[in-house]
Amino acid sequence: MKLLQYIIFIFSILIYSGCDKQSNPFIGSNSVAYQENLSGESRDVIILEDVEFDVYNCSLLNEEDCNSDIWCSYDQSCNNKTNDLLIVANQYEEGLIIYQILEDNNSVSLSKIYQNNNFEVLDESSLENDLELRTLLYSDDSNMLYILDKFEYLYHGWLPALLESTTLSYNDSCWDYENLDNIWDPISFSVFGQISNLHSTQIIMDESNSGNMDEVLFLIKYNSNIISQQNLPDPIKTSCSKIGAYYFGSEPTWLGVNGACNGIFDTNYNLDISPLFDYDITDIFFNNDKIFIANPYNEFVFKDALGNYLNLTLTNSSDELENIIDGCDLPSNTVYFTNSGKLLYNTENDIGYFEMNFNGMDLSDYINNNLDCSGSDLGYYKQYPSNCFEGEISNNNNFSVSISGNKVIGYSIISSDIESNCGTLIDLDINENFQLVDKNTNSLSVYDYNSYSNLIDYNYDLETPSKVKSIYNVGDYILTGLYDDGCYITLLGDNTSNLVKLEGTNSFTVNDIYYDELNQVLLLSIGSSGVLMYSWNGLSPYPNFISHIVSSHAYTARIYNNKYVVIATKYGVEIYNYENI
Amino acid sequence: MIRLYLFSFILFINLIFSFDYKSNYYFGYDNNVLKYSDNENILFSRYISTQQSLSKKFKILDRSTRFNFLIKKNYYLDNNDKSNYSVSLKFKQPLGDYRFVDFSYNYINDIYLREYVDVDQGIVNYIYDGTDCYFDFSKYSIGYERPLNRKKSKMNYYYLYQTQFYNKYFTEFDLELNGYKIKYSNNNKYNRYNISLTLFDAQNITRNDETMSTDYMDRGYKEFSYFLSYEYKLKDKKIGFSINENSRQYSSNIIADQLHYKRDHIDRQIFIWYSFYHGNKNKSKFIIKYRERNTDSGYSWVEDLKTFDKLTFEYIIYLRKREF
Repeated sequence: MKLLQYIIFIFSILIYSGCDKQSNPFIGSNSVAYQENLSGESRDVIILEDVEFDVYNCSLLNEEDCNSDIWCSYDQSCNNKTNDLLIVANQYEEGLIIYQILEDNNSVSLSKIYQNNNFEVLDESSLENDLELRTLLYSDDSNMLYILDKFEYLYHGWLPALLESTTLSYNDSCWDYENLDNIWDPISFSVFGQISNLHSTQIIMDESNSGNMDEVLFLIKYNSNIISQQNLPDPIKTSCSKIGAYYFGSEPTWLGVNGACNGIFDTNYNLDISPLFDYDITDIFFNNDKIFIANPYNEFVFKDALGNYLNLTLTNSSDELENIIDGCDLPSNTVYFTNSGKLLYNTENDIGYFEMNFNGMDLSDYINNNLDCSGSDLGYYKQYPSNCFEGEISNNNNFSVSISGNKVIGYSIISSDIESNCGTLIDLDINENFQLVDKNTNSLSVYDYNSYSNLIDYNYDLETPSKVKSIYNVGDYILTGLYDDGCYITLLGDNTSNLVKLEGTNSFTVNDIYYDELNQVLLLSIGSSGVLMYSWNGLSPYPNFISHIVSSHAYTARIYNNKYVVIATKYGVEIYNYENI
Repeated sequence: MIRLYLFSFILFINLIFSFDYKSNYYFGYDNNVLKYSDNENILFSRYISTQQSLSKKFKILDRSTRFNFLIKKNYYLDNNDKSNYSVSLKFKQPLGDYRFVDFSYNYINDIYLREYVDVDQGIVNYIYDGTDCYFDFSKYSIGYERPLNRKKSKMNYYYLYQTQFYNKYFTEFDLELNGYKIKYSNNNKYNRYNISLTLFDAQNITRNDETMSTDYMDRGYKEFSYFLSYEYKLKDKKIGFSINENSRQYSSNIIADQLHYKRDHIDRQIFIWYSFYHGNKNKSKFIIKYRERNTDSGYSWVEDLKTFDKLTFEYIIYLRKREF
């Protein structure tokens, strides 16, 4: 009885001491310095420090107007002054926002000076007013702001004009381009006025190429599920990607500032600067005339004459290969690529179309230099008659073979199949340096950009441990952020997959990589885990970990004033002061 | 203050009265112990639970008050984070004519969810992988019971008050819930069944406190649930099933609050059991529990994170009552 009473007594103590406690919230010692909550996700930010526009003329203002103008300051006379700006690409609700950054000692805040969510071009291929801003670029040379509305159009706006309503020192009245809402609108690239079904998912600019007129490259994706096959670029019959270039023929202000203010630019474009890539490109980067492409190639595809996918697998098992002399020895519905370049096949279905990618060397150059047969040069691909190659395909006059970059496409001009169901489909007569891309291949490619010919040339491929999410180049190094596998660094030009994993990047997915050369800080935005900061001079493969900023879900991050990290997050913009870390 | 009263009261009655003692032992297997969604690495765990209860009737008013105190400890063999305990206390006072009022209190300590990122950490000089997320769950209820036309059927009406208090890193999710429940029960020689309907209004009581995480988050919701249970009895064996379905609609109107904005879910639980008595009056019970939650949200990552299903097998042995 006493034991039981004792037990009950203990239980009572537990109830008294254990229940119903509400914890005091934990706040870290270096918590967020400023938070700008936004309805939509903030996908990209640009910070412009000490911005001053020549076309703003404060000397015309009286003292009162001068003191109320953010671009002017009064000291016996009215003079121009600089501002720090934060430009935010917001998905959905807010669109494009520009803030003046106000920083005083250790406090920072934002003052909104421009917002526009009403500049989307609406036409037969863009029916909804649903700006989904993803990427921003800014050219210091031209004061041009470039904006990507993902899967729709690209826009650009001359920043002094976009901000004309923030000052009295600019007398030109700019054209409210689209919507007559008294907010000057960015305008779409002229390329989209010509061909309305082109939609872009990425835009890049070589920021090392200062002093020249802007030249931006953009990635166009063609999704065969949402557009008709007639609108896919020839000769491909699957979803794919291509890179185009957009550039100024003359300075943006070639017709004076009034022309720029009203969006009258002398621009040009080239839609075919690259060969055909596959659809799953996740990122591209452009620096020092080199283009870095993440996941350019998917595994091979076979279809019948009606366009139905055929389920053929690649045979690699040494047991299966021991007794194979030709394709008819392969297991049913398999293919095998030999070291000498023969594609062996054994299928229960007739083949009407095939598409293969190769890593390792420049396939276009190799075929062009070694094939004893002339083809038709059609720009981003070269088309050969089927009898240029040995194998079953040579017996099918209706077939052609095209080489676009490292992609081989076999297709029938009329709807027909390759009649034999096993053997050697095609002999490309290439060496063992070429590897057929299969579903286990993850890679990035480096291309050289020739600004004179406006074309890109294959340089080399690099296999990666898992799928690449983001890619970046600093000097002699390539940084590559992977899905669920952290970030790796390698020497530019080293194609031996000698990748070094950055300390602490663990199994994070790296959404974005950014290097602030001025402050020598490397920022990795790792989604729901925040942002990792490294100190790095860009000269060794070993950036030093500084700190982990546990922010909201981070897409991109930038350094401001050598003491703040500004992060575009799922919930808006967050600013952290890292000075005391 | 309620804890002080409970403590004093239990101490007081323990010095005066003797008790009936019951103990139960649970052996189970949970195939998705952390309620992970399909695209995650789902973890299983075996578990053992022990439950002891003390009960007594004692006379405070004209009729004897029934008192029950219970403590349960859960040991998760393959996932120790899930191990925890709960205590409950219940009083039931007859009013005559088969009418009763009752009060119950149930406290579950440290319910482990998973590791989440605590955005209030700020900047740290090490790699932060996340923080374990726990909460304490307290449930209070006051009920009134009355018979219907036949004594074998009855209605219960409850007012429910609950709190969910998270550990200090996740106080942004703290909830206070107010609810109402109505229950109809019937039983005869072979059949026993009940149906109940419950309505909850959950308020996120830490909204807009000084933390960053509460600026854009409101975990409040309204929830409607029904519960249906049927058991068939044949001599000393019973077989039964129950269905419980909760429809929850989150009330966040913060567009930036992707985790909760325009989110709703349906959470179903189905139990099937079979029980029988041993010769020594101990009882055994086998239960299969299936639970699935389907979440709708404007954001696919939220749907992925919050949708799951799980299957639990459990064997319970109820030892016969002893008197002290």
